[in-house]
Amino acid sequence: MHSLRLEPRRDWDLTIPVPNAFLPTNAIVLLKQHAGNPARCAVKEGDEVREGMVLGVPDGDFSAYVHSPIPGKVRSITTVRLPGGGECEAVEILLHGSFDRLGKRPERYIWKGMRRLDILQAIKAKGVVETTGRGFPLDRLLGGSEPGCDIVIPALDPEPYIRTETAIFASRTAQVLEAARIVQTLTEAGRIRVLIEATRQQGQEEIEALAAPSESSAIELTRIALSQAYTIGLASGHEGSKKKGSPIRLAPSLLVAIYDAVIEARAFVERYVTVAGGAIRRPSVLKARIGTPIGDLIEECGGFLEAPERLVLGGPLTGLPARDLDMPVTKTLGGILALTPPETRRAKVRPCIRCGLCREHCPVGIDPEAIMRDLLGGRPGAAHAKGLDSCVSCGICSYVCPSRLELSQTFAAHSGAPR
Amino acid sequence: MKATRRVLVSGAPFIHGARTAARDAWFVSALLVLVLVWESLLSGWGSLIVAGVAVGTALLAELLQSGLRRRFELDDGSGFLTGLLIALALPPGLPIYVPIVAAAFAILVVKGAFGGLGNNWMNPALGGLAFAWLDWPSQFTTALHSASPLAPLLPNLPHLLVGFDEWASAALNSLLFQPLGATMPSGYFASLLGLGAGGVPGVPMGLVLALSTILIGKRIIHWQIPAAMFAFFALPTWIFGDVASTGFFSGDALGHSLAGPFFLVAFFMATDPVTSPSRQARMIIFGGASGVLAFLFVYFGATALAPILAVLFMNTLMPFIDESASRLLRGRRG
Repeated sequence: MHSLRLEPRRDWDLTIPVPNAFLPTNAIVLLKQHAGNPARCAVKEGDEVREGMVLGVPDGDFSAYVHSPIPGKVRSITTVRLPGGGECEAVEILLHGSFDRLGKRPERYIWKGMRRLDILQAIKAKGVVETTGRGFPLDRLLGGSEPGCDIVIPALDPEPYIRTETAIFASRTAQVLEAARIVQTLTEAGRIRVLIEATRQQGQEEIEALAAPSESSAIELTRIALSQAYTIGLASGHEGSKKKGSPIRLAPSLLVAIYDAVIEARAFVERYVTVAGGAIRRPSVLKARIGTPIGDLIEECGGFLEAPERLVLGGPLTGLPARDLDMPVTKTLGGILALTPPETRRAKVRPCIRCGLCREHCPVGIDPEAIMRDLLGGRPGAAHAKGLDSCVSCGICSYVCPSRLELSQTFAAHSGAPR
Repeated sequence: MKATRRVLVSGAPFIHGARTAARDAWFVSALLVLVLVWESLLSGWGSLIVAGVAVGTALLAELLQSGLRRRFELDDGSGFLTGLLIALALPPGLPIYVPIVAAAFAILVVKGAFGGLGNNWMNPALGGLAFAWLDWPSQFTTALHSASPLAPLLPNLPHLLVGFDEWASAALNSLLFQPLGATMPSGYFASLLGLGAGGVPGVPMGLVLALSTILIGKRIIHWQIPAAMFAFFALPTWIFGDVASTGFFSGDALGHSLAGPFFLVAFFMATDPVTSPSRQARMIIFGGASGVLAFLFVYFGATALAPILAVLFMNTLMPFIDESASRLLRGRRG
């Protein structure tokens, strides 16, 4: 495999600490922001809700609690089309009334005095789910880990444009590490390893100072060249992978949610989002309430410089297309990108010329070219035999394809299909 | 807030690498235009007319076949490139209908009839050249042995090149080879600069090699195919090339590969991704076999088109190389 070097496209200044976005006057809270079933709606039209109040209760194993990000009145229970396909119920809240927590001094619970089950219960009750993948509830994610395995904190953003995790780690280093200690205690994990960018960033010295000398065990820092972080991450398994002895990967965005839930007893109602791309006037990372329409955040970043060709929820390689600017921020949304034609480098789809670039760069070592030929030729069995199911949907084959074939998109549509 | 205008909604990834197949084809074409310009300085308007006719025919044929398939494909650059390659591989001084037939056959039959770009099982330029050669073999032979009929643009350039060749060869001999007890025959520098055997103008192989290194550096072509092809052509040529007159190990490998279209074929046609393998070992097998075949064709058929026929033959064996190689690998694993 030949390693692919992605251009970082992050030529804007990061503001640390991360500024808060304006509160939405109208929040749209999806009842499905996690893997598993949508949460069951616990409010009705006209109800008064307070900040952090439960809007939805889990329905089934991989479902999770959903809370109100703002105080206000339930305006309606609507149906929203999800960017990944399908639709789900959403609670629309009109901002009014006073805040219970905003601007007040946060409570501080001493987690070391808490029982294991109470901590897990707090995490679950505050609606904490995986923040970078599909949104598995955290109690599920930690359940399968073995005692003694490492905790890995990828404090960097492997995909171009995105700086969410970097910004969180830089502005809340101590809290991220404290949350990692909580998980370490819960799972009886071994070392804590932090992956950071190889190039020196602002505040890096403080991070090292905070990370190095610590109470129980040292925290290890590993530097990774950002241009290669994407492919390295793919090779080392995904978030919460259950392979024997594999480390628990916890993104800083998830760790601050754990911190807020356990130590400050706050529901998971806000998250950090990168708003970037060539069509955005002032790219930045913002701390936004869940339910804030992405249009509001784009407005706060100075609006559009030009009409974007593509509007993306998430990273440029693995994100989802946004249909409009009303899509709300969810627990798993790390980035909003508005991309211009020179950035997308879209071109006419042409026939495969068998150049082999897809095969050369595939991080899991399958042959996208041959699999595509099988799928287009109506031979799904042959495609599965060639390793279609080991595809991790990283998008690299489609990224490099000089004929702009929709390889990974086609694979995603066929994987898991009956042989 | 309402939707922004005309936002696309197909899936990830949303960004792409800088390379596109069309851009690569146009880039290669642009480099070959440099070769053409140099050739025309040596041989006069003849090569420019041949090129114009070949490219024009190729583009017309491309228009026709994409019209038939209701899919406009002129902008992918492949038709232009095919026409240009045909023009450069043809010896100057051929009647004008030869490039026309070669280009038309290449685009309409070799490529179009099998479903257009990506579906052809022979390199179109090679197929067109071989077809034209089979039609008029005697024309090719006479053309190879006579200079361009048109007046050169710079009448003194060939003489200057021959002079430079003699001077450079003599200088290298006295400085480097004679102290080592060897002599380099003259003619290499002239070939590199575009003068073939007997001073007949042709493609400047030195320029072809230089431009190929750019393509290799940009990873548009891989070095394995041309390197293996040269090695497996040069080695038997050196060993057996002059057995009759001077015995074993005395063949002029470099001279034979510089004469004729060998390097043009090896770097620009054998490397066509559609009709060549893209994995390391298979590229070496493909290139090596092409080299050996080219040697056999030269010495038993004595044709200047040997490298063209050799690669063409290997093109037809491509599915076999891919299949048998993967079966061998699977057998080793199982």
